[in-house]
Amino acid sequence: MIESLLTGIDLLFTFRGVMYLCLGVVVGMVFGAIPGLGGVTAIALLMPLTFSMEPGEAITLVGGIMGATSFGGSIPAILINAPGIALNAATCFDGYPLARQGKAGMAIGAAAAASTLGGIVGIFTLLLIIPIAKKIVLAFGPPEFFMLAILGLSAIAISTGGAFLRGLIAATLGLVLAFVGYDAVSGGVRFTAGSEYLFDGIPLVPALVGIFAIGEMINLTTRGGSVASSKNTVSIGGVGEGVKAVFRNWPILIRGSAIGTFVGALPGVGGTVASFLAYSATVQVSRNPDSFGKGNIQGVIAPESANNAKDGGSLIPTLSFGIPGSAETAIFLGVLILHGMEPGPMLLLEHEGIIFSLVLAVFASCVLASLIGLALARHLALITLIDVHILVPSVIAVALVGVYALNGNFDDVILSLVFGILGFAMARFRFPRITLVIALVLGELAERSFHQSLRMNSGDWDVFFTRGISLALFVAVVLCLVLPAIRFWIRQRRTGERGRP
Amino acid sequence: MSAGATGWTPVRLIVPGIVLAAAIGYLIWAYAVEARARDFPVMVGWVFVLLALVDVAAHSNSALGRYLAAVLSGRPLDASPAEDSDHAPGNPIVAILWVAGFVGLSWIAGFLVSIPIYVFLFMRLQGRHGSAASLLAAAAMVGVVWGGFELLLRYDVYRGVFFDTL
Repeated sequence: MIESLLTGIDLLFTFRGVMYLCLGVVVGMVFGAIPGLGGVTAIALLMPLTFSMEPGEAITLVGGIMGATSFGGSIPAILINAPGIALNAATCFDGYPLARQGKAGMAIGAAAAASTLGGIVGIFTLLLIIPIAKKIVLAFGPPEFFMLAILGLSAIAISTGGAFLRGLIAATLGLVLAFVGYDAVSGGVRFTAGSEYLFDGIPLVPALVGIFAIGEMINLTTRGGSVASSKNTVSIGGVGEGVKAVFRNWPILIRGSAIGTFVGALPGVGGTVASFLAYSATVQVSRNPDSFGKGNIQGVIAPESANNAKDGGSLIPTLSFGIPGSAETAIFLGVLILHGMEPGPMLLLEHEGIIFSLVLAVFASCVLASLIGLALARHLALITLIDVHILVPSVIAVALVGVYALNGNFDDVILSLVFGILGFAMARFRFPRITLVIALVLGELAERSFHQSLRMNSGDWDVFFTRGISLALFVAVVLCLVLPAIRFWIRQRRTGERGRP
Repeated sequence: MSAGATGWTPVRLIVPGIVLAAAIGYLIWAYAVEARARDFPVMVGWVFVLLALVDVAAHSNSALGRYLAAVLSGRPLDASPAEDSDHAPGNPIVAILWVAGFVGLSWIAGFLVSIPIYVFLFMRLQGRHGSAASLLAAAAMVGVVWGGFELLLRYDVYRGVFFDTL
């Protein structure tokens, strides 16, 4: 592991590595600051452009984006009450009131320090887990990987809150799309409708660019307008006070980071849940809960530490098992595929050095983003004044040119358009896109493991239920699927008990 | 048909109906695949149809439907049906046609011609910006694409069917 860590350091700390890291941080902060964009769109947009880079450089760029987006989104959340990305929404509750009291600098300083330290906690947890994860991976066989893939999809579906059924439908659709093309098991070609373009399956990069970047731009077109209607003239001073406040409130920082890391490791749950959980936990244990929502600095520290800690957490299932912990990590797997690295359980074993360069890039990005953010906070806030009618055609143009540049095939552009329409329709009718994407990535692993499992056991299905780990994972799948019913039953009982005299 | 006391309208069945039709269509297609290659797709197809049926039932105006909707959404039994779609003010067909038009124009004339036209028209017609600002943005955008992709990254930007045949 030490050797791989040194390889990662070697890959990161070159002139080009540092350059791509800084570029990733700036792009991540800008995209994080512009509502409607976010790290997912940034990575999707830049993904085709990484094709000509070395794998280590591409991963450094992605790591830079991942570590910087959350803090970028906190700046408009604090200055103009408009979160750059969903996971910064909780920061608005106390960040904006602080800004209105003339303490924007303090809030931004606290967000910067909390983001950095929260991100560091998440990364250290990841580094501690990686050696254990390798041993776990080696204990897994095809039945376990199949059950893990199904568990990943089920867990993501239940994490979509009230859209549980639609989450499962989206996951099933993702599996359906994953079947398109050449089947390695039988050697046949499926669901291509005679199209040679689809012979190798649906290309992941154009599909991801379509679903997230193009779909989001179609969505923004229907919404119109811009985020802020007038320039904000709040002075950004007192940053040092905010940084000191984070160290004074270190229990809140630790609690928020722990929540963020744990929640981030649950596939599909995401930073939004982590930041809200951290915020509400802080309010509940506070001696002065009424002060929250009115400019309590703890209300900035808790969510900001959680939403950066989740980056390390979400990489745990992604790197260990190839199951994306978040939308960004799902697209990150697309970057790996682009560079010839197969996502999945063997990733950690075969490319440990490059994976460590990602981990270090995310770590460095958390620190760098805070430093750059503090220097550029006011300018970043002005970005939110950009009219969507300038933003939308610009992003679409760059995205589709990038998609074409991948293979020089215009069919990729058309595919991106189709997936863009699909992504928009899914967002509009509340089908979670993240479950479709994760199923698209996991589909091949699931089918391959399924067939390997049956072959191991002469076609007998009991192979999934007679191995300890596989059976435990199956039980977890069943629990995931019945959880909504259990919650409903508990709620009905409580309602019934309250109604009794 | 007007919404009843529960707020239900038959319109709520449109999207679940489309999903169910797609699921059935996919399952029929999966059965047409050669035997060795269809096991897993067929299994997933049946799951797809089952989930789509549950979704239709959950959106129906029946006691079972209301119960399913409450269980799956986490809302109380007596709550009115949750909104199933996101009502943004703009016309989604227009938004899609803008992107589709850009792709179509790009296929014909290439990106370096289509991008400035698209950016200019989008800002003028959709965004109601002035001609000068729209022209400036269009020129800037094509400059960024040409400079970034062709000069810096040495990618060939698509020239279009029209210019390729010349």
